[in-house]
Amino acid sequence: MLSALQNPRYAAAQLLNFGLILSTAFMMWKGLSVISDSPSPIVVVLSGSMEPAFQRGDLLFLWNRNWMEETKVGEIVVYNVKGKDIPIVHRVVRKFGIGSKAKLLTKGDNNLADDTELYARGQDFLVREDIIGSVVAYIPFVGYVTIMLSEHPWLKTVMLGLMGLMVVLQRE
Amino acid sequence: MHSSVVRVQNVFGFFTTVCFAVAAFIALSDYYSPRTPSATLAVKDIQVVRGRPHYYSTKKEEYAHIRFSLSSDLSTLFTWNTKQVFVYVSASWPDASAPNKTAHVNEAVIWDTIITSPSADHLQNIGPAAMKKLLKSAKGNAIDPSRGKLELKNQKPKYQITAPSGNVANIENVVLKLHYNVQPWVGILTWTPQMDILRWKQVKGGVSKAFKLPAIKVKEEKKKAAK
Amino acid sequence: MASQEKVSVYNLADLKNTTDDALPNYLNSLSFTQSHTLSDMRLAIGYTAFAICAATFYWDYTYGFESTKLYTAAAVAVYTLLNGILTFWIFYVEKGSVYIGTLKTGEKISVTSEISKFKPVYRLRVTTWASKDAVGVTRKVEREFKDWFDGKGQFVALPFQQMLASSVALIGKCDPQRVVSKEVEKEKVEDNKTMDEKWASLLAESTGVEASETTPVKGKKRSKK
Repeated sequence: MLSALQNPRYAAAQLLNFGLILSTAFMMWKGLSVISDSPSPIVVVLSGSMEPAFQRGDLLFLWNRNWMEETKVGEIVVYNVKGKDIPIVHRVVRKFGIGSKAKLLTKGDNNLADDTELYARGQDFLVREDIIGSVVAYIPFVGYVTIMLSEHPWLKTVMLGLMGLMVVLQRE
Repeated sequence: MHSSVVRVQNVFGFFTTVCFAVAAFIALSDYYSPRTPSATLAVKDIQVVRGRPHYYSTKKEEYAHIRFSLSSDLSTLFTWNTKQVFVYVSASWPDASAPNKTAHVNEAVIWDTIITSPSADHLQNIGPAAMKKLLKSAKGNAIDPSRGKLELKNQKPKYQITAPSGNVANIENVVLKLHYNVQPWVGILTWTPQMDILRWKQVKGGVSKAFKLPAIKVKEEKKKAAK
Repeated sequence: MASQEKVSVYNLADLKNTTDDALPNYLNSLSFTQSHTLSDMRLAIGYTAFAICAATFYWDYTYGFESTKLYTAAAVAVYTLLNGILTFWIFYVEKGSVYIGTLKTGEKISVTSEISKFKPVYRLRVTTWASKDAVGVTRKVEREFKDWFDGKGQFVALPFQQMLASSVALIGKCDPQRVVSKEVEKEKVEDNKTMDEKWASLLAESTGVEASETTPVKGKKRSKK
C-alpha cells in the first residue's frame, strides 16, 4: 500500500485497475443503451400495478426499436410522463393510427381504470416518443436491492459502515 | 487476502453464477415445449350508444359494446416456466380517411383476463373466497393445462370502444382477434406470434368474421321516448 | 522496506505480486536502467479508454441520451476496441513482463513471471542479450515461494536476490557477492531430488544465508528494498 505511493507508475496502474472496473461497467450499460436504443435499457419495477405479472423489485429488459413492427396493443411499455421523472410500466390497450403520431392508451393490468389520469394535464394519449422501451425479458427479485436502498436510507449507512469496517479489519 | 471475507465472496460469486445458469436453462426450456393454441371467436350482439368518458365530462362520445363468444384452448402455453398468460380480445378497424383503407390501423382491447399458473395463484388480486377456490382448483399440480381452456358464451365486453374522434358508429370491416402474452417466471416475454417459430405455432383460428358497427342506438330510444 | 509488509502465505497472487515488486527494486539497485515502455504503453491505452468513458459520462449526464446517442455509440465502439487492444497488449505483448533493463555496457535483460493456479512455484523466464545486436538467450527458472518468504509471509530479500544472481549469469556478473556456490545451485535446478537432498540443499542454503549476512555493509544495504 505504502510503496504504491512511492512509485507513481505503480500508483497509476492501481488507480487504472479501479478506474477500468468502473468505466467498463458504465460502458456496458451505455452499450446496452445504444443497442436497445433506450436511455434506460434495464428498469426495476416500483409498483404493483402490473401484478401478478410484475412485482416490486423485478428486473425488466427493454427494447426501444421497431425493427419488425410498430409498438402495438398488448405490449408492455415503459413511458415517461412530461414533468414527472418516475417511469411507468403499463400495457398498451388502445392504439389509433400508425407511425410516430399514433395515439396510444395504456393501463396497468392490476388497475381498474386506464392511465388517462396519470398523464399530464390535457394529455389523453401517449405518442411513440413518450415511450422509452417495451418489455422483452424478465428476471424476478434481482432489483429489490435498489428498492431497499432507496426506501431505507439507513441501509446505505449500514452498508458503508460495513465496508469501512472490512477495510479496517483487512489491514490487520 | 485468503481470508474468510474472500471465501464468502467466492461462495457468493459461485452461487450467483449457478443461479444465472439455472435461470438461463429454465428460460431456454420454453423453446422446447410446443405451443399449439387454437380458438374460435364469434361476434354476438353489438350496440353503439352515446355517453360521456366520465361522470363530470361534458363531452359526448360514441361507445360500441361488442358481445362475443370465445372458445379457446391455450393449454399448451402453460409450462413450468409460465407465471401467467394474459389473454385479450381486441377489435381492430381501418381508418377510412387514410391512404391505405384496408390496413387495420386502429386497435382497442375489449376484453382481457389473467390466467395464472398454479405457481402464481397467490399473486392474483382477487377476494379471499375466489382465492380459496382458485388455490383449491389446482391443488398439488405445478402445471394445470385446464386453465387454458376458455368457454365464453355471449360474453359482455370489459371495455367499450371509442375513437379519438368520438365517432365509432357505422364503422365497417371491424375484426375481433384473440391475443395472448405469456409471462414467464424468468426469461423472454412472448406474444401471439405472427408466424410459426420452430415449435411455436400461430393461433389456429382466433379471428372473427369482419363486421360493421351499427348506427347509434340512443336516437331510437329518444324517438321512442318522444312518442 | 519490503520486510515490513506481510502477505498471506496461502494467497499465491499476493506472493507473486510481492515478488514481482521486489524484482525491479533489486535489479535497479544493480546499475540496470529500467525501460518502462511496455507499462507506459499499457497505462496510455488504459487511461485513454478511461478518458473516453469519462467524456461519455459527462455528455450523457449533461445533454441526455437521445441527443447524444450517436456519440455514445461511437464512444462505446472505441472503448471496446481500446479494451481489446489493452487485453491483447497484456496477454501477448507484455506476457507477464516484470522487468526490462539495460546496462551501460550494452547488455540487456528481460524478465517475465507467471504462476499456475494451485502450485506455489514462481516461474521466471529470463532473456539476456550480451549486446545490442546479440541473439537473446532465454533461461527458465522455477522456484518455490517458500525459498524467500518466511512462515509469517514476510518477504526476505536476501535468498531471493541470491536465487536471481545465481541462476542468471548477467545478474551474477553485476552482483557477485550474491552468487551461491555452484554445487548448491545445481541441486536446486534439478527437480528430481530426493527428500534427503532437499534437506541437504536447504541446510546449505541456510548456511549460505548466514554466511552472506556477515558480508560487509555494502552488501547488507542491497538486501533492503
